[in-house]
Amino acid sequence: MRARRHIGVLVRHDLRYALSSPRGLLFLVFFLLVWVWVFAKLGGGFAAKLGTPEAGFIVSYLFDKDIARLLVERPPALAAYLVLATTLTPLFAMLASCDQTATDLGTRRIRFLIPRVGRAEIFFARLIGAAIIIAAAQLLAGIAATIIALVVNGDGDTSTATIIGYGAQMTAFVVLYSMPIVALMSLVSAAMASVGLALLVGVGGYAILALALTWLPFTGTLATVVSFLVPSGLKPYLLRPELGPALAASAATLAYVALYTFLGWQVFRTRDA
Amino acid sequence: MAAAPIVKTQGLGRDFAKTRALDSIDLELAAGAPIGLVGPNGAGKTTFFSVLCGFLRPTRGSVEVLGRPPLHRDLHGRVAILPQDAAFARGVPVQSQLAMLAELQGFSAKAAREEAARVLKMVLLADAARKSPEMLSHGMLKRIAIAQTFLGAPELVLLDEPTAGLDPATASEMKNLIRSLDKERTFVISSHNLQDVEELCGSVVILDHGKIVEHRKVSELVARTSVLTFRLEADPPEAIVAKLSAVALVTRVELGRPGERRLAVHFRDEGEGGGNKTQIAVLQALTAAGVGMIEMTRGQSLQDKVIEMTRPST
Repeated sequence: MRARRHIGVLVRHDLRYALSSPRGLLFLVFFLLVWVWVFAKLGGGFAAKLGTPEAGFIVSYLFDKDIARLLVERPPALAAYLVLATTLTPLFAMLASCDQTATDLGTRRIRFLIPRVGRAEIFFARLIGAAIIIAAAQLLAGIAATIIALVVNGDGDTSTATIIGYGAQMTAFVVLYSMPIVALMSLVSAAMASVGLALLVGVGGYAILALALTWLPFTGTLATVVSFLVPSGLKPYLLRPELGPALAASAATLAYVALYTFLGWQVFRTRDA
Repeated sequence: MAAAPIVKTQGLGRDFAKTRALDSIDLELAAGAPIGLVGPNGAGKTTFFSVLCGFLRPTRGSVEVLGRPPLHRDLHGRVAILPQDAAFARGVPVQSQLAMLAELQGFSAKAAREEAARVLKMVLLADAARKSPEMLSHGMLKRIAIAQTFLGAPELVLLDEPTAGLDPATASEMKNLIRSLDKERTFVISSHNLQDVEELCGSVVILDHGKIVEHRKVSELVARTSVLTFRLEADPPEAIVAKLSAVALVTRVELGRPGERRLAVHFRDEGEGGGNKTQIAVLQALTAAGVGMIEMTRGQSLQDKVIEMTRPST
C-alpha cells in the first residue's frame, strides 16, 4: 500500500515536470514536428495516392508485399501511419525514456530519495512515468492519424466505425511496441547513469543492429535469432494485415518488457547510489 | 538497561577496487547529544555515511541503524541525510521538490507543501521557494539540502559537511538551528571544521584510513587546563624541547610538523595557581630562547588533538 503511494507520488511529480525540462521539450518538439509534417502530407492527398495499385506495386518492390497489402486492405492513411510509427517508435521511445534512473544516479539525486522510499519504488516509478509519456504521445498521434483517415475517406466505401476500429487497433499496436523500448532504456539508463550516454548507447546500439541485419550476410536461423534480440524483429508481424500474427506480436512485446525490466532492475538494484 | 544504539556496526568494511575505504569498523553510537565524525580527507567519513544510508553496500561486516539494516522500509523517514554531493532536479522549484520528499514521508499533498515552506523558513530561504536550483547559489543549495533533513521528524540526522561553503553568518545560523533541534533528534556531523564539531558535539569519532582511531567524549579528548598551545612566528628550534622540559611541572613538549609553526606544552596542573606559574615560566623560557609567538591558548583544541592523532607516523 505504502509502495503504491510512493510510486504514485514519484510518477505524478515526474509527469508534472517532464515536458517542461529541456529533454522533455526536445522530445515533444521532435515528435510534433515529425508527425505534423507526416500528417500534413497524408491529409494533403498523399494518403489517397498510397491506396492505388501503382503505389502498391512500388511499395511491394521497395519494401515487402505485406506492407503493400496493408495499404490496399486498410485505410491508406492509417496503414502509412502504422508503417511510419513502427519505424520511428524506437527513436521516439528512446528519446522519451532515456532519462529514467540516469539523472537520479548521475547527479546522485537518488540520495535524497533512498532514505524515504525503496529502490524498487524508484525504479518502477521512473519506468511507469516514461511509459505514460510515450504512450500518451503515441495515443495522440494515433488519434490524429484516425481523424486524417476519416477525412481522407470522406464518403468512401469504408464505414466510419471500421476506420475508428482500425485506428484504435493500430494505435494500440504502436503503444505496445513502444513499451519494450522503454523497458530497454530502463536497463541502459541504469547502466550508464547519464542521459546523454544512455541515449547514445540506446540509439547507437539499435542502429548498429539494424545495419548489421541489413548489410551482414546473416541467413536462416542466425538471421532470425539476431533479428529477435530487439523487438524490431516483431515489426513484420505487426504490419501483417491479418489480425492473428499482429496480436501474437503484440503479446510477444510483453515478453521483451518483462525481460528488459528484469535486467534493468538487476542493474539498478545492485548499483552504488 | 542501556538504550539500544542508534548505529551499530561490527567488522564493517567497504572496498573500492583495491582501496580499503572502511576497515573493520566496530562502533556503537548512542542517541542523545550530537556526535562528530572527523578525520583527514580519505578517512572514510562519507563512505561510512553512505553505508549507513544504504547508498553503498558493505563489503564485509554488518551494520544496523535504529535496529534495522540500511534500506529496511521501517527506516523510511526516520533517518535523514545531508549528502555531500547530491543535486536537486534542474528546472523544478525547490519548494515542489521538498514537498515531494515530504509526501514520500507520508504527508498529504497540502501538508507536504506546508512542511516544505516550514523547513525553507528554518534555513532562512522562504523567499527562494519558487526558484529552481540553477537560480540559487552554492550556499543556498546547501541550505536547501539541509532543509530536507528537517522534513518530518527523523530520529537520526546525518550531516556531511553542513557548514562547508556557507558564509560565517549563515554557518552560525545553521549551527544555532542544529543546537535548537538536538534535543529532539540525534545528529551525526561529519566535518573538517573541527571548531564546529567541538562547539556542537558531545562526543567524537575520529576516523583515519578507514579505521576508528578514537571514539570519546569531546571533553575527554581536549585537555582544557593542562596544556598550552602556541602558534609561533616560525618553526621552533629542536633545542626548545629540552629548555621547556626543564620547567617545573612540564611533562611533555610537542613540536608541530615542519611548517605548522606550532608547539604544545603539557604540564601537571596541581591547582591553586600552579598552572599560572607554569604558564609564566614557559613564556619566560620561550622569550629567553627568542621564539616569537603569535597566539597562546590555554588548553588544546579538538583540531590540535585530531591532527596529533591522525598524523602520519614518520
